Amino acid sequence: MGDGDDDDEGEGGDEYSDDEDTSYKTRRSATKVLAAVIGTRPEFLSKVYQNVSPVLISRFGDREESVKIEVWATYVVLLNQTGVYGRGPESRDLEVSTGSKRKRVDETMEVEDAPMVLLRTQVAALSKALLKQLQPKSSAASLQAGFQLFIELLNVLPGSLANYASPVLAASKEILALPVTTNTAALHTTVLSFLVLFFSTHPPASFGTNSSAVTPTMLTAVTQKHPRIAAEAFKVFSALLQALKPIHADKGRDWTLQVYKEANNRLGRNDTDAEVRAAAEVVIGDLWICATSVVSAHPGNEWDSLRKSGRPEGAVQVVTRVAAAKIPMGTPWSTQSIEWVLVVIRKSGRGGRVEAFRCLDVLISR
Amino acid sequence: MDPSSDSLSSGDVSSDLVRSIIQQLKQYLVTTDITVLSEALFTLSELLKYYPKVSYPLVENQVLSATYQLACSPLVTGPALESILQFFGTLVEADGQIANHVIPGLMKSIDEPGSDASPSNVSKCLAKIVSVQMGIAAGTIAEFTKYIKVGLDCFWNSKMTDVLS
Repeated sequence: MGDGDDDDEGEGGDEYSDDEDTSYKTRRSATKVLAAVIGTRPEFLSKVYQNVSPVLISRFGDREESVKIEVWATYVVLLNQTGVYGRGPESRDLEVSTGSKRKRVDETMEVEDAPMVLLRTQVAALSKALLKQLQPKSSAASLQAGFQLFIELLNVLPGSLANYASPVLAASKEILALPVTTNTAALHTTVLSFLVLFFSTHPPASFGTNSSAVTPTMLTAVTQKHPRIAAEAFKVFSALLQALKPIHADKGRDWTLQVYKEANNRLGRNDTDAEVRAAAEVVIGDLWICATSVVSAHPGNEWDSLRKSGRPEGAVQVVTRVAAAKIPMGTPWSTQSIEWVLVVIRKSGRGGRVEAFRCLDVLISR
Repeated sequence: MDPSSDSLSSGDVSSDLVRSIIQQLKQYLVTTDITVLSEALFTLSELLKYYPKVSYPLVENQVLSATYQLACSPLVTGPALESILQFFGTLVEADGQIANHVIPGLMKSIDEPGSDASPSNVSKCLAKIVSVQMGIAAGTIAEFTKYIKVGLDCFWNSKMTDVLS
């Protein structure tokens, strides 16, 4: 608990007018104790939400960065525990199985006291407090921790940021606009991972036109050299395509064409990273399924690139998805795909062969 | 490629391609890899379902004899057995006349001396064929009745006859 206290002597000293103020160590240690309690005593989750969570949220903007990050990390622990134990029946099962007193079971059976319900009532305060801290001038570590907290929130409570789509996307845009350096690469990846989750767990009506504000920044991200950033950016577009489908060319969604061109570019090159290639393959499938009219008007050589891929597993999945979606692709596409998948079946090991057979079945049954 | 002008609809795989597929699938109709066998049989069923005119003669001439052996194999269980049942079902659905030939074919395979055939699998295949082609039900039941003469009195006297009514 008290690890690194000696090292902390000089930490953040310059940020305070009072260099002698070491109370932050107490706050940080107290937060660690709370994290330990939350992480080991799930039966107290409801009480934690009633008594501790508001205090933690009030400390989201602690002046000392290490305390702030510790508070956020503690809240991540709380969210993780809520995800595991916070849903009514599971929570009761745990308590019964661990031999706790019947009284506790009765307590959690009251719906309004369920941790998930209590969390829902605190999302507004949590989001407002956290958004205040997500300023581009903050350190990369702090920003990354903040977005990690949002990721955990959406994992536990999907769609809970619907009322904050505009400020959340604005904050994401500002941070993604920061130059990619060794220090900020992980931050960019985390923000993009958050956006994947955001677009896949919220209804399109909740972010509406706000998504167009962030797409130019994401288009820059897909062209990044850093493989994880480019791969995550493709995944964001996949999630956005799935959320907004069907997308038509006349809706001013010109980003679809740019994503298509970049994915084609990545698939056509031999030096593309495997993770980027896999994400580009998926986005090609999503583009054909969700924005058929856009991509069919600008034929590229993506299918040739996919079929020439050294690892056909991803390409098999894309062809299967497009074929299963009954997208009108034309006889040549179908014929070439069947001929290619027959070769894959011949050459694949046992694992890939089953998927290739499924692909063949879908192509036959179109 | 212009998808709008060359829309792919069901039944748009060329005859040559169907032949190529069946030619390749033949080699997987062995019990060395049951998973692949199951998938190959399922794909053959799909071909018989969507392209019966092209695939049926090829299956009858090039595949059917191998499937008789497979139906008798005790190694064919679970999903592979489901696939072979589906295969025989779609086969006799594609051409009703073949049902009269498939049943003797299956029986011949099981009657071969020294075979470790699985009567249970063959019975299920026969049941599947009869359930798809009910026209041959009466003849098939009459044919198989002679094998169970021992317990026939019990059969007629019991409520088991209700099953057929």
